[in-house]
This record gives sequence, C-alpha cells and structure tokens, in this order.
Amino acid sequence: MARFQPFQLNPRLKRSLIPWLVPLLLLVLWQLLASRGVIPTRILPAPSAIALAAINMGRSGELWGHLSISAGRAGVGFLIGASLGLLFGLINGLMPRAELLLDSSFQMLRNIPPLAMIPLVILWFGIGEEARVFLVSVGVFFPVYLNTFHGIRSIDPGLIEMGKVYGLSPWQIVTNIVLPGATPSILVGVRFSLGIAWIILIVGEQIAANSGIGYMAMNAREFMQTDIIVFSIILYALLGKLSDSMARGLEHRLLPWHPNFQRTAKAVPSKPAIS
Amino acid sequence: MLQLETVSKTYRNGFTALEPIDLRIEAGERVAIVGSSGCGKSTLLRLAAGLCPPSTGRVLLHGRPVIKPEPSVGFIFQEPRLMPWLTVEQNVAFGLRGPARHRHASVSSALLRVGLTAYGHYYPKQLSGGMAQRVAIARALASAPQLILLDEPFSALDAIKRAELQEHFLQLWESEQLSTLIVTHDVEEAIVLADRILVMQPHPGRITEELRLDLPLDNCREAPGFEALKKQLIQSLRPPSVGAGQTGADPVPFAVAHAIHG
Repeated sequence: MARFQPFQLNPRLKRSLIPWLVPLLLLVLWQLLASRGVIPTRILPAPSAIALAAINMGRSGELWGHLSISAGRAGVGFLIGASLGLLFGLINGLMPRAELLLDSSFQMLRNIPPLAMIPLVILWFGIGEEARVFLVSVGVFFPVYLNTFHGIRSIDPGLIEMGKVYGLSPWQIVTNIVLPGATPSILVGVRFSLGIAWIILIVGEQIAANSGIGYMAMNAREFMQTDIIVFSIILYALLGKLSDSMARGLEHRLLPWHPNFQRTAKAVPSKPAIS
Repeated sequence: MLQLETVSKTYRNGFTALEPIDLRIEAGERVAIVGSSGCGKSTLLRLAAGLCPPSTGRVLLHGRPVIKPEPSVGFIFQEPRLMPWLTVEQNVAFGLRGPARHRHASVSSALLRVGLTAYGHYYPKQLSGGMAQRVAIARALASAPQLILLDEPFSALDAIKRAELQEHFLQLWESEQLSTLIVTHDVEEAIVLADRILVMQPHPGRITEELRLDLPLDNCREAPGFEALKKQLIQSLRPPSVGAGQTGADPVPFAVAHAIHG
C-alpha cells in the first residue's frame, strides 16, 4: 500500500534545494529578530537593510567602482603570480639542476606569510596599486609553483618510457606526456591560489587603500554603517565562490578524462574478437 | 631478424646486470626468456628495444645496428601504460605517423583485432585491467611491427584473464605472423606462448639453458608432456646451490648462498 506523500519532488530538484534550507531558515530568523529589535542595528542590521544598502550603492555606481577595482587587482595579481609560479614550476620540475639551485630558496620564502610583509610593502610601494598587486602575486605564486612542480614530478616514468619506445624527442615528451599529465595538479594549484588571492586582497585593501571593497568596508566603519560592512563581507564570499566555480569549470573543460569529472559508467568487458 | 652479439650490460655503479649474451631470433619465431626477478631479463629486453645502450656488443635488426627504438619493433609492458588523458582510439594512434586517413585505418583495424571497436571513445580509467592491456596490444599492433617485445605482459591480471589473453595473443600471432620475444617469470606462460625457451639465471644475468618446444598451438596446456616440461623448467630455474640434495658440490653453506642469491 502506497503511503500518502505530500511533497513528491523529483530527486534531482530535491538534492539541489536541500542545501539552501538551513541558510534560508537562518535568514528568516535573523530578519525576525532584527526587525523586532532583539538584535540592535548597530551590531547587525536586518537582511532587508543590507539588501537596501546594496541596492543604493549599486544605483549610485559606488559599488561597481569598488568592485571593478578589487577584481582588477585580484586579476592582475593572480596573472603575475600564477604565470611566475607556472614558469618556475616547469623549470624546476623539468630540470633537477634548477631545482637544486632554486627550490630551497623558494621553500624559505614560502614560509613568510605575505601579509607579514605589509609594513615593508607600504614602505616600498606606498599605498598605490603596486602594493596590493605585489602582495597578491606573492600569495598566488607558491600554490601554483608547488603544484606544478609536484604534478611534473609525479608523472608515471612508465609513460615517459612509453614515449621513448615510440621515438619521441625530449621536447615531444614534455608537450605530449609531461604537460597533459601535470595539468590536474596545476589546476589544483590555480584553484587554491584564487582563494588566497581574495584573502590577501581583503586584508591589503583594509590596511592601505583608498578604493576597493576592503576600503569600502573600512570606510563604512568610520561612519558606523554596519549594513555596508556586512554587505562587503557577503560580497567577498560571493566573489570567492564565483572564482572557485570558474576554476572548477576550467577543470571540467580541460580534464574530461579525469575520473572525478566523469559521468559515464565503467565499460563492460566484451569477448575479444579475432579477425 | 633480431640479433644480439655478445651484448652485455654493466651499470655505472659496477653492477653487472647481464653477462655477454648471443641471441638470434628468426622471422616468425616465438622466443621466451624465463627467469626469476632480478635476473636481468628486463634489461635484456630494453637493450633489444634500443631503450638503453649495451656496455659491450651490439644489437642488430635486419643486419643494421639498433641505437634507438625502431618503429618496426613493438613493445608491450607489464602495465598497459595508456595515457589517461587520451581516449582508447587516441592511445592506439599514439606514435603513429603519416596521413590522418591512414592512421585512422590502422587504429580501427587494430581495435577490431583486439575486439574493442565499441570502446574507441572510452578513457583508460573506464576500462578493466584486461581491456586496458588489450588496448596496449592494439597500440603495439597499430604500427604494423615485425617484432613485438613483451615484458611480463599478462602478469598483472588474474589467472582467468591471463589465460584468455594468452589465447588471444596466440591467435593474433598466427594471423599476423609476428616474431615475438617475451620475458616472463611464469613458466607456464613461456610454454604456452613460445616455441623456444631460454632460461636465465641471476648474479650475473646469463642464459643457462635453451629448449625447443613442439607442442601444438591449440590447447597446449592439455598436451601430453606439458606438465613434464613445466617441472623441468622450474627445476632449471632454481639456483644451483639450492638444487635437490646436491649441496656437496657447492662449498658455500646453504644459508650464506641464499643470502647472496636472494
């Protein structure tokens, strides 16, 4: 006997809705408590107030200005840091002599938190664009470098020997075997470093800047605009999520062969046919 | 066809992997080299393939010295060694030269011969171990080699799959008229796949015995004489010091000899 079921959603829709249940409930609770005055606006404004602040800033154009400046800094810093990380990862991964020369220096530098360099960076670059771009580049460099290096070194030597059997030149082995084999690892580094880029940018913009989302939040603090502060925090979360989704999209596109991104089932063995 | 003239290999650290060896493989011949692990049989195969240079002597293919891997020699390894980022078809086409249409034809005919036509667009991770090894066989066949070198090609598979693939390989050998040189530690595999067997002993690697077989190709396991041959080969694979009760000839006590040989 079939039991009566009031909500008969299709399972896929259900799976995509369920994760939103808890955030939605919290949001409703927050709105209720704030509008009844249980949480003072000074501490945490109601979600509706934050949404209103966001709309106002969007209308005045202030939001887009700060947003594009922050995105530009993150983008340029990421490009510089990731290109250098990729370059040195390739050089050191392919040439043990270069590794011997450079790797231990990189490992020393890696252990300096980029944010600890802020005082020095301000002295070097002032509070201009270079300071933030520099900090982001430094933070992005190491994850890309390490993962590129590791990706190259963990290639199955059997595949390289396979390439030699077919008479591939060293350069062909690099382009046909080493690079495709290292791509999954390189992309892990890219994804990781995108997150780091945003984190460094937030702090960098809050300490020494006169534009960008971090500056927007610090400026709002001066005027006790809690709604704008909370909005900028939400903005960082959204931007981080957006760049992560972009990196994931890149993985899906570049790694159709990787078991993590495959949807098709395993093949069923068939009897060999002889002709 | 393939000729090894006093070929030996001593590594830079002074370790002699292979004492000078003479070996000749005629067209259409199936030769197996059996030996326990570390006896230098894989080194011998790599020397024959031109993957590393011999310390002395030379390797000749059709009378010409082999200094780098030759396109007319296929190599099948113990593991399939497929590029995970290429589909089955692209893997089989790996290393093929020439016009695209020609390459495509070689790939489809190679896949047909190993019965994997339907799986051309699969990635290696989607295949079972036996299927992946069949792709590796197809890749070796695609370049239409005259000689195929096999390094323990079926030892990573379970017993049923192994027997199946051995049968399959024999049928391919019959239809393609390939010469094969197979290296294995599996005595049974050597008897099934070869018509000439060379026994190798380690420390240093050398050929100690040679056998010519005349067992039928089909159902060779059931042929009379198969078991006797197997026993004989296992006996000749044993290090001399561990031979049946004949320790008197060997001045080295068993335990010491074992430590040296093991």
